[in-house]
Amino acid sequence: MLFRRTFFIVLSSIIFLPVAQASVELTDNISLSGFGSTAISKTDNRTPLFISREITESTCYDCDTILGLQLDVELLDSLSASGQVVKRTQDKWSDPVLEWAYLSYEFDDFEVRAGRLRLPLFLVSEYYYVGQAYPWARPPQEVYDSILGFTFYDGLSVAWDYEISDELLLTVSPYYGFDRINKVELGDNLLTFDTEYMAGIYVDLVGFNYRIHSGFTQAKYRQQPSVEQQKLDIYTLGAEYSYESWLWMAEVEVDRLQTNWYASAIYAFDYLSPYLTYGESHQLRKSKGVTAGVRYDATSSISFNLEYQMIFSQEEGNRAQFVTSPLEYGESADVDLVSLTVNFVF
Amino acid sequence: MFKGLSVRVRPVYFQLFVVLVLCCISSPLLAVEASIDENDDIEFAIFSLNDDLPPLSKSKARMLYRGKSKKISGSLKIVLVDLPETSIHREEFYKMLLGKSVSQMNGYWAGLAFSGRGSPPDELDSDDIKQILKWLNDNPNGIAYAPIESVPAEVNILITVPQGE
Repeated sequence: MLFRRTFFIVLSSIIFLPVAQASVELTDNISLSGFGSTAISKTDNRTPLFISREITESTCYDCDTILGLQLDVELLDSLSASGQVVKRTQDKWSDPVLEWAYLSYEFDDFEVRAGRLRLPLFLVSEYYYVGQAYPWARPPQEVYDSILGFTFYDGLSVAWDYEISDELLLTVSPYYGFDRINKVELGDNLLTFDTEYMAGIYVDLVGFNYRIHSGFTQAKYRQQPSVEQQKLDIYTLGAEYSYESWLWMAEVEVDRLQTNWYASAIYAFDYLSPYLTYGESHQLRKSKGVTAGVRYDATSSISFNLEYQMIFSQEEGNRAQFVTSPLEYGESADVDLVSLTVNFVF
Repeated sequence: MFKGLSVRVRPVYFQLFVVLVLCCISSPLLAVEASIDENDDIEFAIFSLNDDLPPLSKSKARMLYRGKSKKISGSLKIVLVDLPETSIHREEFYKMLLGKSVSQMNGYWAGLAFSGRGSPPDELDSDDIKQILKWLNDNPNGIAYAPIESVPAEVNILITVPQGE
């Protein structure tokens, strides 16, 4: 059974081989591209692990399945439109979401966007669903699951790109998201947030081999059915630095409910890239975790990840990286996870 | 409130610091730059057919080929072209200019394509200089790379790699 599934995954990947070059140019001004990931994953614990993935001890073939399509249209010289539809890990195939859809206008050093936009909190937020674009099987949950996996807002953003020198680029981008209802399933609980606004700014310093990303977001919301309005200020800081075959990444997320961070080191041989990630969550979730994995780049558009992750709870009854307390399942607070992932782009 | 925050955050930063220090110590040990120098018999030219394009600094060339910068001289929007994936020159070029393998570049280009912040270079079917020149002819703001001995004399060479600094 396992073999047949693996075979199916490999086979379906090979179908994409002839289009090794990412994206299909439909006309000179319209291009269609896509990305996807799927995994065979299994833990040693009956408590569902990770928001929106819910991996358990029974081998799962569709907990990590993502498929996205992106359409980019150049309307005029400096006006373009982009749309991205994604079947996320938590979505049924029949019910994908519009992850972004915006108009973009560029002038001088500015770019204005309006529509549904990606929340730019973290280093890999912009390509959060594109496994091919980051080294790991999944972005480290300590940081990336801290705001329950919300990834977009409906509103406006302005980005100012300023070249300080030939080797240093500064980007400053404020944004504002209008009111919307955000929902997330945490195990059996459906959480509904009536968000009045979500406003923030990010500042990036970019060199050819490094990037420093700092972000601030304020959200005013009401968690239904409560009528009480709450404000949450979220601070993020991340850095990535590559030197020859090495890549180091580290990020911190702080808000009044929690502090989370991870650090990761990746070494690239020609086609094999082993990596090690260590992360911690404090207050709201209490855990420490280490991930050891290797990525194999089979072609320019297909890669595989084999990963072993250990997460240690720091408090009895705390949900750590599970969707609920493991006590509810009468289970151990610690968990080991093994994953074999395939990622592709086209 | 801030006092409480700092007490919570301080141990976190300390541990992060320790990890980063460990990472930094490990890098000088590997700083032999062997991969940069071992191909010193081959030299690449980054060039264009557009005589208005100014010479590039090495930093600028690196920013362009990492997809982090799209303009030169503040306003000229540049397009890049890549040799086919099977081309040995492509592999050597990225190793020399950026110290990156083809597979590392694949990851970067995938990130760029799906970030809404740009697109990877066009890719040619072959590394024949005629094809490169034809593409440059069709793309007035295009720049390409090729081994310097294959590049005709009349093109505008913006920088050579690895010599250019």
